[in-house]
Amino acid sequence: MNFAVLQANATVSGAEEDRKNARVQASYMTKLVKFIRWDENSSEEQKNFKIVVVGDENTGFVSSLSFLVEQSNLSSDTQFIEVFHYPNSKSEEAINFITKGTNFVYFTKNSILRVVDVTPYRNGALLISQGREFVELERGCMAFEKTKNRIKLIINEKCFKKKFANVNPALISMKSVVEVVKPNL
Amino acid sequence: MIKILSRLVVFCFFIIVGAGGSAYSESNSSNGLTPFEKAELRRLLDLGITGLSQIPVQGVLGYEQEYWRNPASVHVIRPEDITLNGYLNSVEALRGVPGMHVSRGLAYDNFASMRNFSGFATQKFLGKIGGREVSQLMLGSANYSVDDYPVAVIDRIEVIRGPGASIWGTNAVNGVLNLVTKHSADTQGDSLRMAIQDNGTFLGDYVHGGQISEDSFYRVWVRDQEYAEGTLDSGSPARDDGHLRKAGFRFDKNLGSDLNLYVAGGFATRRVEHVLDLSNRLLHDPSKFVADIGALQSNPIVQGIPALSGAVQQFVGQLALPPVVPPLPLSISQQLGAALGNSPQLGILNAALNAATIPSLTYDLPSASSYSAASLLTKANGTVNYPGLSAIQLLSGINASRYERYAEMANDSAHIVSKIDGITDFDMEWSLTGSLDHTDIYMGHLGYEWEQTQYNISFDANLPLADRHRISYGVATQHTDLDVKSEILDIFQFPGETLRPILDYDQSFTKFNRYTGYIQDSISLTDEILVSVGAKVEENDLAGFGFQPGVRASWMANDQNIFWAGYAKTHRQPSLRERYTDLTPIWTWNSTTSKWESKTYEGDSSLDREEMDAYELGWRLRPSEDLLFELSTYHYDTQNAVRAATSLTSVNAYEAVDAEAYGGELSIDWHASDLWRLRGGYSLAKGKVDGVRVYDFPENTASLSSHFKYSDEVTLIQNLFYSGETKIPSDYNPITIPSHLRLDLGIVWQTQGNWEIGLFGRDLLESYHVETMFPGVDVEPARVERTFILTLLKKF
Repeated sequence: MNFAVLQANATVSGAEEDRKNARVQASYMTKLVKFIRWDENSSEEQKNFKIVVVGDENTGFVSSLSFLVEQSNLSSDTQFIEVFHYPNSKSEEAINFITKGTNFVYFTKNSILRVVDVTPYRNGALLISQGREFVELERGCMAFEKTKNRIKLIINEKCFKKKFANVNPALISMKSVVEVVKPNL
Repeated sequence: MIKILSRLVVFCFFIIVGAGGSAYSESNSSNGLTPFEKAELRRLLDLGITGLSQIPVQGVLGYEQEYWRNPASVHVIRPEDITLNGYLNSVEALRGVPGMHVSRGLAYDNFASMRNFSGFATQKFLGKIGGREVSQLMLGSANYSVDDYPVAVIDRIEVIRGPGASIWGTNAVNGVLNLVTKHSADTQGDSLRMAIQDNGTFLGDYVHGGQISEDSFYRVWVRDQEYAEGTLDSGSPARDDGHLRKAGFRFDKNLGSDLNLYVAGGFATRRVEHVLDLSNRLLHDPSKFVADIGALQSNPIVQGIPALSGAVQQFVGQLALPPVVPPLPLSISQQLGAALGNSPQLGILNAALNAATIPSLTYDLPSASSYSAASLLTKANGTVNYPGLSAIQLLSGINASRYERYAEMANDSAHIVSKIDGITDFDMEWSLTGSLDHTDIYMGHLGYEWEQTQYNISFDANLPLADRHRISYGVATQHTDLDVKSEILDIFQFPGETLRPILDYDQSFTKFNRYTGYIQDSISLTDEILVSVGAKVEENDLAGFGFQPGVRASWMANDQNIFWAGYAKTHRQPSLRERYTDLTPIWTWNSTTSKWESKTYEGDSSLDREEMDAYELGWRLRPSEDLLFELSTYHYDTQNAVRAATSLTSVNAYEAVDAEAYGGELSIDWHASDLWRLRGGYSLAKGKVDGVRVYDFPENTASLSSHFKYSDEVTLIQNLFYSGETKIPSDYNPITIPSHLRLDLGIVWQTQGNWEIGLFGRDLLESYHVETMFPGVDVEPARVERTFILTLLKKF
């Protein structure tokens, strides 16, 4: 089994709507993998595709993502995906891990780590969270936004100009799914 | 029924206690997900990014059929359920749905009924295909073979047993069948499917999809189905060869943020033959002969001559006729007349009568010139069983002649449907749908044709209200224009008589309007309890004003167990056939008046809508994401249920009765391993009409389906279907369809490049069996024969 969850202590609670939101976001994550191209030299330690989730959460997001990864890896012969979760109590360990190289860093809504904390160590990892302000104000790369009872994707236009990771233009052509925004200066 | 429900409640209680879980407990979800959530994630994994963007976060009860807390009995058929099982069309795939009974008639006919008391011809469930309501107003049923789509464009088929939520329209009585087609963007490229049976039946369809601009897509498709001739139960040719050809298109455009439009259309043409059983259509009333004998016995002249009186008594004794002899099929009567004409006893008696100046005793038959004798003779084809006369000793050993009138049955149809949907800034999801359908159905065997043009417009919406409510509402209108024609069949030409067609439609009723509205609130009472409360209202030219309330609720007892219950009052509008069509199926020769007289069963314009109180209870148990059990029970109490009249002395062709149906379905879906999936179902269904058990729906049906992935490319398929005995009523020759067990085996090879090749053997346990027939029209059922099918599928 090619995934790991360092601490999956999510409890099955919280409003069902939030849990559904988390499941859809987790499903998006497994699809987004195919739309990002990383430079082969972006990290020497990256043999597998790594998703790091930072912050506390109780909506089943990490569990959902781990389950999806397990399911998709079972039927895939391409690059394996690994999921790592660092709750707020292990923020320092999270930074250390991110420093070694990762592909996605997902910030939960309750994460005490923010973009500014991670940016110096991210080595080209794409930063993703939820809420438009994550892109517009924090200058994260992508965010899930619940709007009109659906989950859409907000993408920072600078994501297309990253040095180590490029977002496939095919993603932004999905106008019904993706909104490209300029972060506020 | 109450006993069954009580036992169910007690059983469920112990299961919950046994499971020992509290709501949303972690006891069975060590990684924080319930088995239901894991199962949903597997489904989400199959969606693309566009598909994910269409998933509503807050659902509406009744919209999202696969939502595990949906308080309804739902089965969803995916395209692979059709292709991997070697089914030629969607209707065949319904065979594996617990609570549905699918039976094969002729090569081009598959009958689908749901949860008992469907009767024949009328299908008491709502059929929606590609966004259109497809039931014909005339017969109250749909032809799902004609309205079917290529499997490549089918997204899913939702089968909702029971009245479902308030959001469904008129006629969702026993259930809803909703075939949903894919967005054009999901059918880009080319897809081809071909299937050929060893008897020559062929199906081929081709779908091509393309992109017009960044946000607009299209697809076009064609389908051809050629039916090979089958065999009737007796071994005679079924004359059911023919063809069905279809074409269609769909255009999708994204008009802006969360505003989408699609336009779809298609046409179909089918040419087949069907038979009309004439064996019991021309009768002879022998009452004059019976009366003449009675008169002889009481004739004072006869009584005054002991020898003559003795001869009369001896002759009467030999005839052994009952006091009342019903009208006889003309062919039987002719044989009887010939036998009497050659009878030495009658010759001796008549000589004695003549000697006493009493007229001879004669058995008067219609002259060949009084009816289309020559035409009838051309339709003779052996003999047919006529058990109704077996009690008359005189007729023992005499069979009725079998007369069949074959003629073309044509079905031409075209439709166009358009839908625009969007989501407003305050989260109101709405859609506006309009459709135009035109159908021309000609039943040459009955001399009946109708053209139906139907216009539909509907508006549906739902929006959140506070944190725990989601309101759904909608309005719809339907206008129908009809043009109905009847013709007098060749065998019903009687010189000098007022002629009547078999089916005669009241031309005063050719335009119909229907206005409906509904409102439903989906309420999250607690994290564990969901409730939907709603009502439909309807003003209908066929059924008047109706109010149909419904309430449904589900309780998530713990992370593995969900219980649900529902009550609904539903209406079904009578069909035009039932209300406004006179049926004149029989002409009788009256020897007293020497005239042919018709018997007409009138359409009953006073037939009110059927009203059903439906009670349902269900339990969904998912011990793990790999295993799902579902139990659904129901009790339907119907007033004014429309049934075909069963007596030749009835005034009307259909009559309103009180009916009761109850039963339940148990289903299991088990992913035994990554390689092996097992699905099974069992259905118990019992029905009563006016307190008397009826058997037009099998009491027990069951199915078991196994898909085993032998390798990444090869899947082995096994399907077992069991159907209990059914009885097909008839006015002279009721038929019992024996129970049957069907075994299908198949192997599917999925090659690289999205090709799929399948070889299937169907009905392998016996060379043939019979499943159904149209009573009163077919003479006998057709054989459902052992078949081998080769399929070829090129996916997009």
